[in-house]
Amino acid sequence: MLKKLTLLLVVFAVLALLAAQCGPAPTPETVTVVETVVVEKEVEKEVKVVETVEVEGEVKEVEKVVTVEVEKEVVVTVEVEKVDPAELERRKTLIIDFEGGKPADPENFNPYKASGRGNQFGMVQVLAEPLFIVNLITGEFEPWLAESLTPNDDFSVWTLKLRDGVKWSDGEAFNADDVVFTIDMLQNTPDLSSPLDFKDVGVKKVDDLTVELTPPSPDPRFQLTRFGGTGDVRTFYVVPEHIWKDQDDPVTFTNYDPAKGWPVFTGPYKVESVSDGNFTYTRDDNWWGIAAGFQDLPAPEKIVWTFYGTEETRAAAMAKNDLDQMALPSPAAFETMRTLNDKVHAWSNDPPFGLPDICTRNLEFNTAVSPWDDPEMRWAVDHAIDRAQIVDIAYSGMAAPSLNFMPNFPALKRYVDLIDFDKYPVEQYDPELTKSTFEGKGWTLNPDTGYFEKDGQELTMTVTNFDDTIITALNGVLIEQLQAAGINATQDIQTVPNFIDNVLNGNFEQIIFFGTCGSTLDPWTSLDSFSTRHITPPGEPIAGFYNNAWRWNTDNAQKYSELVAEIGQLQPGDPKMDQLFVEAMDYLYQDLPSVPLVQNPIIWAVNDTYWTNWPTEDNPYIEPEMTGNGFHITLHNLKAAE
Amino acid sequence: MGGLTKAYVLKRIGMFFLTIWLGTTIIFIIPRLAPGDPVEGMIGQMGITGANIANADELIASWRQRFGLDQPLYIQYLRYLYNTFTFNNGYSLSAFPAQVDDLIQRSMPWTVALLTVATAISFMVGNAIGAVLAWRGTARPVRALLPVSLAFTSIPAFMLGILLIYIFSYTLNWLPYAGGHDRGLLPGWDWDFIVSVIKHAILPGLAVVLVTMGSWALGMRGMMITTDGEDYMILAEAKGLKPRRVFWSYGVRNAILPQVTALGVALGSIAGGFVIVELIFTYPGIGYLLYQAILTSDYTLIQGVVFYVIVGVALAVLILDLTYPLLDPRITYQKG
Repeated sequence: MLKKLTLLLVVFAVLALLAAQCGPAPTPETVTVVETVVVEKEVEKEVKVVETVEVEGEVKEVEKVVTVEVEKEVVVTVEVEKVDPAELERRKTLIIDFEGGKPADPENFNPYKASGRGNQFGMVQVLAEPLFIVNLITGEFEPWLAESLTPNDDFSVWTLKLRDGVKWSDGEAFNADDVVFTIDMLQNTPDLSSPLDFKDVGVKKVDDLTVELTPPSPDPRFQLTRFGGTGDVRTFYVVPEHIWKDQDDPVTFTNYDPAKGWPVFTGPYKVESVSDGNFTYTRDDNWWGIAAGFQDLPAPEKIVWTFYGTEETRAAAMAKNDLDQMALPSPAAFETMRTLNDKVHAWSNDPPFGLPDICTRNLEFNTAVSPWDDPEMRWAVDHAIDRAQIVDIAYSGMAAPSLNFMPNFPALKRYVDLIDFDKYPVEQYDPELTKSTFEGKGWTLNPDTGYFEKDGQELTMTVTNFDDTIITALNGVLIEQLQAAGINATQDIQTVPNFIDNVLNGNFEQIIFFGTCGSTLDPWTSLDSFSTRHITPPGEPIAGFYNNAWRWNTDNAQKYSELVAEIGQLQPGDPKMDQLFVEAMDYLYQDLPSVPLVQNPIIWAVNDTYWTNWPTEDNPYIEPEMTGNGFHITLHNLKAAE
Repeated sequence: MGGLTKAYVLKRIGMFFLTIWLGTTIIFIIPRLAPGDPVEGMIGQMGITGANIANADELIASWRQRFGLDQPLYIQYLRYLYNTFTFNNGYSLSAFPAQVDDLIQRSMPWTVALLTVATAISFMVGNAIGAVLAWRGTARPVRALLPVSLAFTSIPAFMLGILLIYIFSYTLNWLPYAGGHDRGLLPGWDWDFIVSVIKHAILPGLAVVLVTMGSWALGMRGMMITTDGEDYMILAEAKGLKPRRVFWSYGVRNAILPQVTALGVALGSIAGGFVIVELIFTYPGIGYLLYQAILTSDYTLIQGVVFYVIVGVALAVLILDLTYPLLDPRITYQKG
């Protein structure tokens, strides 16, 4: 059924996209006119004339300079490129696809609005600039509005140095007062949706370009956790004090008033117009980065975030060069676009085409529910899973099996490589081992039903996922595999609110989820998601779904949590972390509360027709993510196609 | 007054308000029966899509208070009734601090303009086809051809939308396939914008017409067949009236009355938009807004849209009831 549905969707997508192929040629309307021009030119030239004359029988040479007039006709052939004005405009414009549908509230540029992420339509990509940009490829914090953030010896005070010469788009200077004001505002307004926790952080202005930040306790990971190192698509955005201080309620302040020139940010673009499904930004040629010698202006004079509707029409727009970038196409849509337009590509030319998502996809157990509270039963399930088949069917081959809960980013992979996978053969697909484990636990296979039974009870699993196309497909394949292994497994698809409610309150058996999300440059955040410190008394919800949703609270979990707490006291990159990490993984893999499944690929399709130098595997200056603030780096690297 | 009595009018107006009260009460209850907390769900949705929220606990508590969800259910209900009947549907959950009524106000003109015209065309063309199909005097080739035009009714709206896009946008490149107007144009009463809006409305309008006109035609055909055997039709023909007059003044005029009732309900339902068509064409109307609201579990917005649908349908039915005696002199609510 699932296969048929997938096939049907692919056929629809292909049908729509084939249509694009039948359309008019997407090439620009460039006309080459060859004209022949006759040029007449008069030249006056002095010529030396030498003549021989005979005077009285004597032959003599006489020299004389005379001026003559020369008339010449020249035929010149010139080629004139006549370009359609709309095409000229297109060449200056970068057109980007909305990620996740068009926003319901286009006239809201409040970076801390609770009802949206602000990264769908360009606010964090071209208007608001961050203090630092986390580069997942280099593993570095790249300073942007700030120059540095440095701790004292015991990590109790961090000094933030701001870049000199930064100006707001209305010409006011960006300085420490703005930083202090923003942190105060976040601390005093709980209704604002802050991606980063500044609740108990002390803040003090030292001078116009220096701010002292004091974490509630000495914190070697202060920069990682407060300035975007935890996989968040948003980060800490400073707001202009001179505008925001006059607002009665920063929660309802939309930060949008074209008559007043709002929104005011520091980025190299300004809002030109906002309408339903279209955001247009024009380049600010007075951007502070030029005078400060920080960066050249980005090449696109105009940027449009636009919405073409369903995946089929978005993909067709990409194939027709109406889009320069499309967010998260399905594997089938991406393949079709590539077939129709050879300028369309992604991070790599080979599967999985994209970098892994920050969140890997896992089969996560509620370890408080019998019989899955037994680690051996969970390992038996692990051996019943054929990850290659999941990748082939649910992802059309465009993903990679996962052996760990962290994404394969360079800074994290070096830790994963330390794990002894011979000792913990997570990837071993061995249904016979599954069967023998179940039998060893007293379960017997009923040949009539094909399911294991014990004391008259069938072995069952209810694997829940929230309503998402790919995750639903993944779960569908998994259910088939579990059924084949003798488990009467069923899939339960829930709405997002329902799913969240059940996860927080522990009302689930198994989920397909990513409760380990968070680490990008350092493994601690994801490691901490398993910590027992998040456990709440029975009946009480956990604080968030990245807080040990598995209710893993065994002896191994306690020992694991102590090691993770110890890692938390070390500075990122400290060599001591390696051994502690390996020891912690020993406890985790023994119990396996979460079975890693897939490194979920994120494909950002880009089009080289008008703009080139996108980040790729061969040109890896930044990750290809288009919804994060790393897009500022991409933007300054884009070049107009020749 | 045209077959109406004061008592009947008062009774109908009472029914109108009762209908609205019942409808609004049901849409208050349904979201609260669904599992999951809407505020928790909305904050969680952001988390699931990669936006971590450090102060989620505080935010959820604060928002529950802001939306009055921390109050006892009966207080919530009374507040909801008061706000609804004063046309104040409050904040949208997914687009806070945008007001539900502002969002609806922004989308409603697009849908009303598109669907009013499309419904009117569909009504006229559909009924004409139905009447001609049933009429004895219709030529055979016409009778054979007309049902073909109704085949579109059996095609699902989303498939028809893709088909129209395929033909008119990609293959012929005549019409745009997404949005309500060209990129770069700002809404206003200028010629460029108006032309752009009309061009963008043609394909979604055509989809609505093609999908809906079949049902008008079939209904009309049935009514015309019933009418055809009536005494007044036989009398009209016996009197030697011209066939065209018999067809229009005796046949169509009598057959169309139930269709007018259905038209009233259809026009009243316009407030709910045509979700599938608006989705396929990314049309900025109320149907798309409702789709987004459902997708983001924006209960306040869903309630707001459904409220306007209830009011629209109830008002249409009320107007029909009160004007029916004018349309059909045989109908009277007066005794004797």
